[in-house]
Order: sequence, then C-alpha cells, then structure tokens
Amino acid sequence: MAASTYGQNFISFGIALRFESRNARLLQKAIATADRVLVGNLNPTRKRPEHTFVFGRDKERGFFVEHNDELATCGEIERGVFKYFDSYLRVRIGEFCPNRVFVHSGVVGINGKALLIPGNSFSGKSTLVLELVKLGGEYFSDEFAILDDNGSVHPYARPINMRTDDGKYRPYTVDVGKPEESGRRKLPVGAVLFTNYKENARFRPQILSPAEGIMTITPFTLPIRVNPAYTIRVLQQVMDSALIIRSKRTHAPRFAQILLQYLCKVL
Amino acid sequence: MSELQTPKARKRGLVVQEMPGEILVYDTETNKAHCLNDSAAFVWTSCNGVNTVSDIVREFEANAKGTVTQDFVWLAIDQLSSKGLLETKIEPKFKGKSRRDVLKTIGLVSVAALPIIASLAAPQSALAATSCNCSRDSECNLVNQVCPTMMCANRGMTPAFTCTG
Repeated sequence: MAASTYGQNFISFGIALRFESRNARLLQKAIATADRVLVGNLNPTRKRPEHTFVFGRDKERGFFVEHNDELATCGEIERGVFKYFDSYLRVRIGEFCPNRVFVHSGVVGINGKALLIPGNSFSGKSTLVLELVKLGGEYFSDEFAILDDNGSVHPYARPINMRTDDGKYRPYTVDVGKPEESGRRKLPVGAVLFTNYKENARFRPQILSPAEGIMTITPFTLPIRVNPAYTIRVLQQVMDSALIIRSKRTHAPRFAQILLQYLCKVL
Repeated sequence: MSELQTPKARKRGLVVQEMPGEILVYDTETNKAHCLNDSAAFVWTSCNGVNTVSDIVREFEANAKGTVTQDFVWLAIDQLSSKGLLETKIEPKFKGKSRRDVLKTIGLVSVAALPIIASLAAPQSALAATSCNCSRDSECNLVNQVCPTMMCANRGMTPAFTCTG
C-alpha cells in the first residue's frame, strides 16, 4: 500500500469509510466525487473505517485507486479513473450497507406511493423515469431504489441529464435540489414493474406473486450475495404489499402515459 | 430405485422465506434462488428423513391438497435433488423419459398443481450491472484491459476501442 499523508474518515449509509492520499488535490477530488455519488450522505466520523480507499499516482500504474489494500482501478487518464471510482463506490456501498437494500431500479412517486422499475444500466429505466416525471411523477431516482426494513423506499436523487430524441437532441435535466427542500421523503412501495422494450409492444400487465417478484428482482439486488437473509426479508416486505407487474413496453413517452393511467386506477 | 427411500430436506446454507402458497429458498453455497410452488413446497417440507414417498403421498392427500400418485411426489423429489435442496442426491426416477411424457402421465392422474421449482442465479458481479460511465474513449481507463461492466457507453462507438471481457 502506498504511504499516505492526508486522510479523512466518513460514515455513509451506515458504512465507515476512509479516503487517503499523498496528494491533497487528489484527496479533495475523491471526497467531492464520493459526496456526489452518495448524494450528500457523507458525514465526518471518528469511527474506525471498514473500507479504506487510497488515491495516488505513480509511474507504473498512472492514477490509481486502492480499496482495502487491493487495486480497484488504475489508468493514465485521471478523469477515467475517477469515473470508474464513481461506479465502484456506488456498488460497494450498495453491497455493504447494513440496514438498507440497494436495488438497481428507477423510482418514481405516484399518488403517495413509489413505483419501482428494476433494471441494469442501459436498460432504458432512466428514459422511462424521465417520461413519468414529465407527466407529474415525483422523481426519486433513475439508478437505485434504497429499501428499508419496513419496505419503504428512500430517494437516491442524482441529477439526470438525458438527450431526448424529438428531432432536435436537446438535453433534459431533472433538477433534484435538496431532499429537505423538495419535500422528498421515503414512500411505501406501491408497485414494481418488470419491463423491457419491444417495438410496438402493447401493455399487457401480468401480475406476479410475491415470490415471483423476489425471484425476478434478485438479479438487480446488490447485497443478495453479501447479506442474503436480510435482503430477502426486506424484499418480502416490499413484495407482500406491492402490485408486481411484468409487461413489455413500447416507446417510452407513449408507454408512460398508459402506465400512469393504469397505476392511478390501481394504486 | 428404492421406494423406501426417506429423502431429507437440506437446511445447511439455505435462507428460507415462507410465503402464502410458495417458498423462496436462497442457496448461499451456489448463490441461486429457488421458488417452490405450493405442491413442491409441501413435498420439500415433508422430506424429513423419516417419511417415505408413500408417506408423503398420504400426507399430501390428508392435507386436502388433492389426489396424487407416487410419481407426482417423485417429480418433486427429482427436481429438489437436482437443485441441491436435499441432503443427499437421489437417483433420478424418470431417467430416459422425456419431460413432456412424464408430465402428461402425472398430470392425467393427479388432481393437484404439478410441483414446479423455478430457479435463478444471482449475478456474480454487481459492478457488471453498472455503467463505467465512460463517455469518450479518451476518458476510459479500461482500454486494453478487461472491462468488468461490459456496459461501457463507448462500446462499438470508436474503432479504436473494444470492450472485452
């Protein structure tokens, strides 16, 4: 492990972290990245760290990030390394958070309940989330559903910046503000939608049982291997009280309208 | 195949969540999730190392779950064994027969939902499901290395860059 001069301890989602570097600028960049990744949920602590990240640069590896004495990533381009760290930290927090279950999922609030849209990156969930927000849904996240023991979902509201194809390719930014300002709070999960795109697909909702819902969401659930008992308990809380639907979807703007009409009737 | 076998449900390394009409089992040794329907769940919970197949048939009918045959119970036991949910592996009962033929025979005689176990493997790498967030190949630190995400935005966009792994 590289000798380090600067370091700071933080707690985030119940996990004690430490960031270290011999370079003050790299350390500040790491902290700023982490603060953005963890949507401000990064607070100084004196707790002994469970995860230590070391940032540095050397001739052999270029810029590098070590996690608990093992190399996480390295490369010649600083920006690339920090972009990878962005993803890496999100996943590690999601895996090791002791009292929340992180699921790769879009989340939108509708009529006081949350709709979860589980899916991996590039599955189209951000596009669908955006269309639902345009129609009046409350933006919670386009990346993670953070579930607690009671089966409620907490916001992970990072700004999303997407290019919408309306012939002009202009960016659309969702302004998330601060949770306390926007009044965004945890919501009970009202519905879970498993979907993938098929051209001209019609909305034909197939209702799943709670066990089928847990099975289907497992591939998107970060801590399933690390803490399966707790994870399944939390997922059961969610699935027991939510409407679980599976359906193909067509073009996002059209599908969002149909879906919203359906959910407003059933939620 | 001995009809006096007394299969025993495995408990070690399993996270079991019972739900109305179903049981979800997560196997921490193989990182697979299994969903047992009502019939499969009943057979599994009846496999206590003491009950024979005939005993399980009797219990099934006594619990008003329908009229079934020994083949019905064996179908469940075969699936449970192949998925590692029994303490010891059992020799398959229906070796050499097509699944369609087996189900047809059992389905015609039994008045109960056929035992079904759906299974799914948990993904090996959570990082693989998350984009590495590269927007240009000049930003990507994974050129010439194995990309763990396989979701790099750059993939296929520039001839100089290839995401492999």
